[in-house]
Amino acid sequence: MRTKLLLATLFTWLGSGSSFGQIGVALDQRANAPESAVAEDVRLSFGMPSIIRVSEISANQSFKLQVFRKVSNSGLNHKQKVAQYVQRLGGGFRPPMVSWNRYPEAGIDAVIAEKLDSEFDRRGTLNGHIEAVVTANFPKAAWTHKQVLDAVSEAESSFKNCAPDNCVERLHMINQLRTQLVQAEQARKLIHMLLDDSGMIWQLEDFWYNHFNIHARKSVRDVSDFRSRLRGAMFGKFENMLLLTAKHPAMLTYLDNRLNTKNNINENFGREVMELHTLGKGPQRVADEANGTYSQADVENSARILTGWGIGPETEGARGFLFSAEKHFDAPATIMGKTFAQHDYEQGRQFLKYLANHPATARNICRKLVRRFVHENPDNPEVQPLINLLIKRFQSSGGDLLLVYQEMIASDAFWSASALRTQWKKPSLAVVSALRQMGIGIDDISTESVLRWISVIRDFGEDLLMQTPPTGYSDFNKDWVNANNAILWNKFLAAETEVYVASPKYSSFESCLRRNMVECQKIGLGANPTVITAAVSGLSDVFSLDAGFAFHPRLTEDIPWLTQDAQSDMRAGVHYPLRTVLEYYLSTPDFLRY
Amino acid sequence: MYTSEKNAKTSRREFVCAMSAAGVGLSVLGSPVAKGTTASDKTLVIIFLRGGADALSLVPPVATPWAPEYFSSRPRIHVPLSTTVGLPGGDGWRLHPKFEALQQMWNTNEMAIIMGAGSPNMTRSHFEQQDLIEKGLAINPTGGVQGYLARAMPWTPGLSTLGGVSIGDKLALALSGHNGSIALGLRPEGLNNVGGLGGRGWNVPTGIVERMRRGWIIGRKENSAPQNAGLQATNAIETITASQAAGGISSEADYKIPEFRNAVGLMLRLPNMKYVTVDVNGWDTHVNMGTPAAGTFSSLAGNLDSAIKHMRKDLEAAGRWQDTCLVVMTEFGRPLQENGNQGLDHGRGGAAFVIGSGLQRGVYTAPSFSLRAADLDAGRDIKVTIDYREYISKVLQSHMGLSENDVLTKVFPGFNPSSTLDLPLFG
Repeated sequence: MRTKLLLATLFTWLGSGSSFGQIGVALDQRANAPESAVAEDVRLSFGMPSIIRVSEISANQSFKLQVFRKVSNSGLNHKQKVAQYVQRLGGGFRPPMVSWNRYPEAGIDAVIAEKLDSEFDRRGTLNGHIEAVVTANFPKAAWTHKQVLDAVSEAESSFKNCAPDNCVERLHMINQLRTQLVQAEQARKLIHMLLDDSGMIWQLEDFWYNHFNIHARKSVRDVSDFRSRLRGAMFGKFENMLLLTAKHPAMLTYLDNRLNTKNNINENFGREVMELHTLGKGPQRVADEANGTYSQADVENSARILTGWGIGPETEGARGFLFSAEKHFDAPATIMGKTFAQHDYEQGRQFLKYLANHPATARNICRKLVRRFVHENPDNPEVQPLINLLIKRFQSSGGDLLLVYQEMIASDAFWSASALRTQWKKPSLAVVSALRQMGIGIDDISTESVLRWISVIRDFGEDLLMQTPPTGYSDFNKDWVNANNAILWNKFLAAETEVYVASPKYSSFESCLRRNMVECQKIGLGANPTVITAAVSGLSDVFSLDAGFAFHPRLTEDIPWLTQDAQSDMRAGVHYPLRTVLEYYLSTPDFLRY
Repeated sequence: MYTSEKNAKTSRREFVCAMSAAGVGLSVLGSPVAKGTTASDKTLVIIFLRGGADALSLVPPVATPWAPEYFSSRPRIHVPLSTTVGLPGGDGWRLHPKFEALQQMWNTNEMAIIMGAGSPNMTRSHFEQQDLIEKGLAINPTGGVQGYLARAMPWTPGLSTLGGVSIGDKLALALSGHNGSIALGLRPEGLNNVGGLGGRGWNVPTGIVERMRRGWIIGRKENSAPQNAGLQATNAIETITASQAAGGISSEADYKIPEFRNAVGLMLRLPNMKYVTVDVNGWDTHVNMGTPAAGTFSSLAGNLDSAIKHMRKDLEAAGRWQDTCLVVMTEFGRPLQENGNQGLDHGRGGAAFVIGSGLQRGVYTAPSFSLRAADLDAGRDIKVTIDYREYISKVLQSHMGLSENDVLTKVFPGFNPSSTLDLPLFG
């Protein structure tokens, strides 16, 4: 009934041309208190009936309206609309969260606009219930920065002071501690992606961590804190995020800038901050300031400007940035013809501010965002207008990322047919989305299962948070679609569906399918094609497919062949051919597109 | 002219003549040749040390004319003469202390070392340089381009359907662009059941191959990513399934670097595998290189030595060593001068090793090679005086059987071999 009220409200608005602000209908107001907002999020996350609320009149009105307009004018069918939201800005469908009676066709546009708006309101905050699952299974994930620092220091000095007969053991202990700290952070990332149904923050965090790549083991003391602060900064200005990352102990360690001093210049960070973090291109023989092209000499000057940046002693329980004037190369330095004559830390700060606001940086960041979230080929002519628009928005707002994301998500390009299924899933998303499709929930999370999935994702080539070169993982995901991964994918699904079918969770799907599977239950052996067809159509509903959505173009055509497998299943005592169909369907490359 | 073994030079022909004269009954090539060995059984393994491996730590110039420059520029990270491993006839160059197995290969005429090797492109960016090298170019093209090994494949005698493999999950750029190349990360034990789906307690009517035919190949757009992946995967599975595991293989603990073991596992099954690429990460030693006995660089060197040692051992036991050639290379070397963190920044000229039976051992340098301050690039880096394509061309011709014309026009277009450089790697 609330839905109807909302619809009536919206139609009134549309008809009268009045703004949201003038609607004098008594709608539920979102509670202001943060606790109840979290509670609502939790309910949404765990698939309980969502209460559609319209927020109070706020600055976000225009964003919500924009999304509503774009979605409703997009020409996409309602499943496509939901898919675009759930898959591009989350970890994929999770059956308790999405069944079609929860995302009714009528009103879908408003639902999506509302959900997106609430995800933005959330900013980078963690879902407390999911976080509890993380720390329950990986206790070291609950450690504060100080606890991590203390433990690592103690283990390291214990190793330094080892006696010949216990050195090997102590080395083993420090390595084990490092491994566990890395695993705790990998687990945090994976568990939230698996369980959080408001997944935009995890997509964004993955994007930015990849952009400001850190090797979790090299920066083991600081990686957890780094990710936490990154989440906090990613809805703010790019310039601030750049400065934050440049000064963070994790980055100062990873790219060696903490060792960059006037007597011993280390160029690592000075190079990558231009090549990767901002301007987005490598050094050339001749600099060209307008284009953001710099030379090797500019790299050397960049390194000089950034000397003296180091990690401070542990004060107040946490370590951070500490600038040392005596280690700083105090002289004006010129980059791409522009001279920075400030002294000390200010010189570096102004330099980074300059880089952050250079047009080439805006172009680099906006192209990357579009490549990740809209179309894998940012040179595709259909997305050029969007990229140009985002660059304008970036520059006119001083790099306000929240506004850039909103512009991107509330764009024609994002909700157009030509943006559908242009992306290939990278291994973490492929594995997460497959597990989510199988209805993963809190009960499936254990230390053992999470470590297993982390290991599987690593086998595909994506070692979470542990990419060695600062380029991070490529956003050209087609590269993951190769023969080796195709083989591993089939093996992974065979193993995982077996676990899944043996689990109590499977029975919850039985209930969804019971109306189609009754015949199947009665039949012990000798399944007939009708049964398989029923299984497929049952699956289709639960897993949100239909031919129009083109999930697997020929699934129904393959039924005679699938029947053979299903008969084998039945002979072995598995009464439902569902496992066969499910495994096959998930194993096809169509599942790997989104 | 190359600078080693000028007087003790023994070409293959001379060796054979000498032995024949001594009445020793050796076959024409001067070394044991297994029955049935033909040009089509040759395999080339490219071992890429990712990160820019420091040439002078791999092959310390401790008794060369440039020893003074070496010691004075690296007060904290030089390799002391006393710890190095000797290279008899190596003109004062010696090996890192951990390279005991490599020294053995030098002694048995199975290793050539090239110093001052690299790419003519001046970039010191890892990714750019690796990219260029794997494309076999000096300048980045505007469009997409195949890898140089992929370009070599059609012109390689005896190429079979599965001709190139990258060990691991990602196909090396060098092999990209040819349908006969795939990436395979499977361990030798995994190869035994490559096509099975595992985990089931009952008879599986269809394994991976059938699944992939249905789901990835049939009805897909031609040359699409899924279809190519499906075709390559099913082809690889069928080829491997039809093959037999031949010969024993040393343990993972022996190899230290599992990818080498995985490579050998595949090579033992598929003798007509032409090109294998193996990556070794971790050579980007900006800081804390450690001592010759312990620490970052030492571990890297020790692992590499073990891996190559056991690769040779297992291949030889199966009669495959004489058909195998290894090339160890890196994207660039590092500067002469250490930095303040007991490490080295990015540089230019590096070291390369060509390893295999029947090589003309030597430390090969261009006439202009020098470590004098005035001869360094930008006053800091060892100049690249031997283009990497020089030695790879030689290997492709002498070992893999490509014609010189094919190498210069198809594999390395735009490359002009130097007329002043003499690299008689194969005699």
